[in-house]
Amino acid sequence: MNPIPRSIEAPAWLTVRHVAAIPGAAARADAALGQVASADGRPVADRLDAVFSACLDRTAGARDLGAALDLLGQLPALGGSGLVALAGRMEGLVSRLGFAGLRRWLATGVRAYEREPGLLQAYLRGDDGLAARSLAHETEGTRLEHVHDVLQHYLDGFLGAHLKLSGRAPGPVGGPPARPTVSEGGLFLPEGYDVLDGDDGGVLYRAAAAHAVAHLRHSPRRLPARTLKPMAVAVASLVEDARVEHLMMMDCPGLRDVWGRFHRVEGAAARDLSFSGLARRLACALHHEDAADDNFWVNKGVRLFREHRSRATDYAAFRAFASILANDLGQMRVRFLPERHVIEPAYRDDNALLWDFGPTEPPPDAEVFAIESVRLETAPAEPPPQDREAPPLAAAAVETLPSFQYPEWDEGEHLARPDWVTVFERPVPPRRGRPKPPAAPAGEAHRRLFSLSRARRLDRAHRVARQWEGEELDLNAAIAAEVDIRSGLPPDPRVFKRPGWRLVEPAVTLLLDVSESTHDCLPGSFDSLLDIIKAAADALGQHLQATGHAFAIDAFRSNGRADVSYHIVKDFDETFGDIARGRLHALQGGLSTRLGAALRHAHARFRRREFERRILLLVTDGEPADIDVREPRYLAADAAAAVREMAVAGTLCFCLAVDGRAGSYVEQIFGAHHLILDAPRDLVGQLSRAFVRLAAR
Amino acid sequence: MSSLMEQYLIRTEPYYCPTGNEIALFEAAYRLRMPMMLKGPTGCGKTRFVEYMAWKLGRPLITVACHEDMTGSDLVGRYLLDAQGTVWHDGPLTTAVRQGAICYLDEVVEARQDTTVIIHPLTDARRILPLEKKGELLNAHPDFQLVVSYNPGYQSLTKDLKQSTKQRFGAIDFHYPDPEHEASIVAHEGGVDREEARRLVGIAGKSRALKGRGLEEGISTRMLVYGAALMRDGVAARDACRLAMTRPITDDEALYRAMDGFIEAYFA
Repeated sequence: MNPIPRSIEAPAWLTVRHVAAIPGAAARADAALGQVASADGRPVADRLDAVFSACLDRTAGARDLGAALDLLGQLPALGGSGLVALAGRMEGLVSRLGFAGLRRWLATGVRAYEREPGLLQAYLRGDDGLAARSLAHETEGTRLEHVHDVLQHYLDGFLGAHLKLSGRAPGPVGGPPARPTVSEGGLFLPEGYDVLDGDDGGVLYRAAAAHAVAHLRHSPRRLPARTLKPMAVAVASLVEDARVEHLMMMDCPGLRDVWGRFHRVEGAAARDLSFSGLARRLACALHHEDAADDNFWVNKGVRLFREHRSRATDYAAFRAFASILANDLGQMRVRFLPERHVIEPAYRDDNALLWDFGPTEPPPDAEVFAIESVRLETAPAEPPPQDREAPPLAAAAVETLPSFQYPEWDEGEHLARPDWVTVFERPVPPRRGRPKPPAAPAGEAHRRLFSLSRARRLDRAHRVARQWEGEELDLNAAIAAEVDIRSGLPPDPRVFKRPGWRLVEPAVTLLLDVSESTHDCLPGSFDSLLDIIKAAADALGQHLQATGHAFAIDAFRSNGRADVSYHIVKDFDETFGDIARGRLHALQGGLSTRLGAALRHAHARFRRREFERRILLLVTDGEPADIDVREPRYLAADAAAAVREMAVAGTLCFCLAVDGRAGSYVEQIFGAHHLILDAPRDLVGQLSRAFVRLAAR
Repeated sequence: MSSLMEQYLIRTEPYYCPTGNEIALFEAAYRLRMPMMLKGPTGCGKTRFVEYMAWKLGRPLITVACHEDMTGSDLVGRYLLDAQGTVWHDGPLTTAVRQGAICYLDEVVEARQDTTVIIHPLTDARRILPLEKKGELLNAHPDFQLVVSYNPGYQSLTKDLKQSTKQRFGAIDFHYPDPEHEASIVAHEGGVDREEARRLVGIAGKSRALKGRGLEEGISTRMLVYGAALMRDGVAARDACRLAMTRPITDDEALYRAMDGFIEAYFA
């Protein structure tokens, strides 16, 4: 069939807003439909076009649209007859599974029936047991997002340290299923396992996390693998998996069951003589003590493993017999196709931690850092974003600094984009020179000012005894008075109790904007704005330290959404002494102001501690801005959303803007809680006064 | 010894498994009648240690659980009314000072600072307790010793001992015992075999790594002993661990499900 010449045009279901939200959307849709049209005929493509038109709500957000485009891009892999079988059911499937779920459901079918087109069509029509099970799995099965928090605690507990847990996007339909990847910087688990990997209610994820822990505890790292044949690497990896699991089970015997339920070799698999089949049989026989296998090679592997088991910490011995096993496979003429090799059982990782494939050859899983194709852009004429976006995200993923993901509010789309911004807690780069001497000791007026800053709350749990009057009798005082009367002494008439006032000390975070613009020198002076900000922070810090308030001083700047730096100058449980003051002094200006992310992170740090009252004081010098955002009010709207979230959670947020033109955006973000300073030199006094006013509320 | 004191004597040896030289240190401190402070997380064996030392030294032990509403009178004593008129009742501290007992103020930071200053004249060279209301100045019995305990972990910024109080005490730091010792303790106290005790200790170790990541404290030795006792009485290991260890410690679903994962890893 001849390709039908067409110019690139967006299908009708892509609205102008969609095209604007995802650059290249029109081209991607057009390419996929064009591919279908040329391979399977125009009617099939038109049918698909109609189905998408019906499925995709015109109000759908960028996330839905991204998933839809992704699905559309994978559809040509099904072939014409498959598409026809699917098209009739697609609308129902999308409404039940969503675009992303349907894509996983299709991938499961292709994975199961890759070489059996008839069965695949039955799957797509729904006339197949697996289709129904897979459908149920996609709607009710456990996905990483359901168990992420549990697994994160599980990992941290096992490792005794924090290891970041992230999701791993699925590969293309028809490719190998996603498997975990372990590195020193984090653990990547598949966003969803399919029904062929085992249905389990979360055990599969725990098995994967425990297996990763076994590697991190017991495996060597990054052994040279360039000179090894792929099959030798695969066999050595398999033996290493069994060795570290054996070591782990000596400590945690319950893991034998957790892992064991995924080691099953039944039916045709028990007679499979391909590499994958033999590997799976060996893994199963190594795990289950009582497993019987009739294959000589499998039994040789089991015998060698058991001979070495008593010195399981000796990696080299295991590696040596793994080489023998790999050699045997070569002599048995077993073929190994790396691209078709599926790691089984599904909880085991790709062993990228173990091997170093050298600088030129990326490890087989370079797509670990695959990025989401959805992206916010305002200029549709921009080149495709992947090139510019991939490096910071990849860098972010391997960076070992504590990192945190926060959502960002998209005012135009009216949606909070989950995990959109990455904040790194970076140490303040050291700077030569000594901190300036501490600000002059607080004068009496200042001290009086600060004594006002302690708000009091009536607290019924707190009773004041021995009062002249009150709501109830103070029994101890009454008895003492009676004792005095009987002893002929004048009694103390203060025999009542009443609820008391309790001092509620506010905890404070002073958040400093240290973006590039703070470097500007003030007119007629050698001091930059940053110097003034530091002096003000120093003065407030000294007073807060003297009055015993819990407070932190933090600073931030940003370099796109993948890299917001957050510096902790002084943490809550640290004293504001020379070290912390040295850090304050060392702050340097640079980069941009992604305010919403910094506010969310400051708030998250606040909420990790139990403070009854929280005040966040922000010192900034300009409107939020960042290199990857061109829409003028986008970041201000996001910051306003962050302030609203904080207000709901009971955190008071106040902004001091050293920017005479700040009126409009400051009001949009902070409402009435702001103060605009035309003269930066007022900052030192104004900051203290702002704190006192807020604290006394 | 008076019959009043008899009731405070510990007659049978409490089980205590030393993890260092704390017994020798405490004995040395007792010889000087130095006031002692035992610091450590909840359920790590502070109270059991005091009981053991009281038994070993042959002194009666008077324990006071401190709380926010405790007043000086609750410690020292007060006049009460009876049919004949007014009678003075010694408080637990006064009883201990008079009779030469060890007075143990448990979780002393819970008491307000104006209450804790009462112990100041007792805990320096003077060793006296003024009973102002009664008009009596009580010299401490030569055998009297004051012991306090507190948990440095969960005190907030506002709850801390004054420096003037802290500096009157010698201190011994308590931690959860190392896994071997802890397994012996759990096996002995809970009545399970060593292998089961070792697994329980493994679960607790994982939970302690989550301290500060959502958990205020990890699973304590005391909780392990409860779990072990339930297992000894025939409760299935997983149920026993959930009941005694993971459910009480947190209400956060993600945390206790993660800890159920630890249980699963140790008890199939």
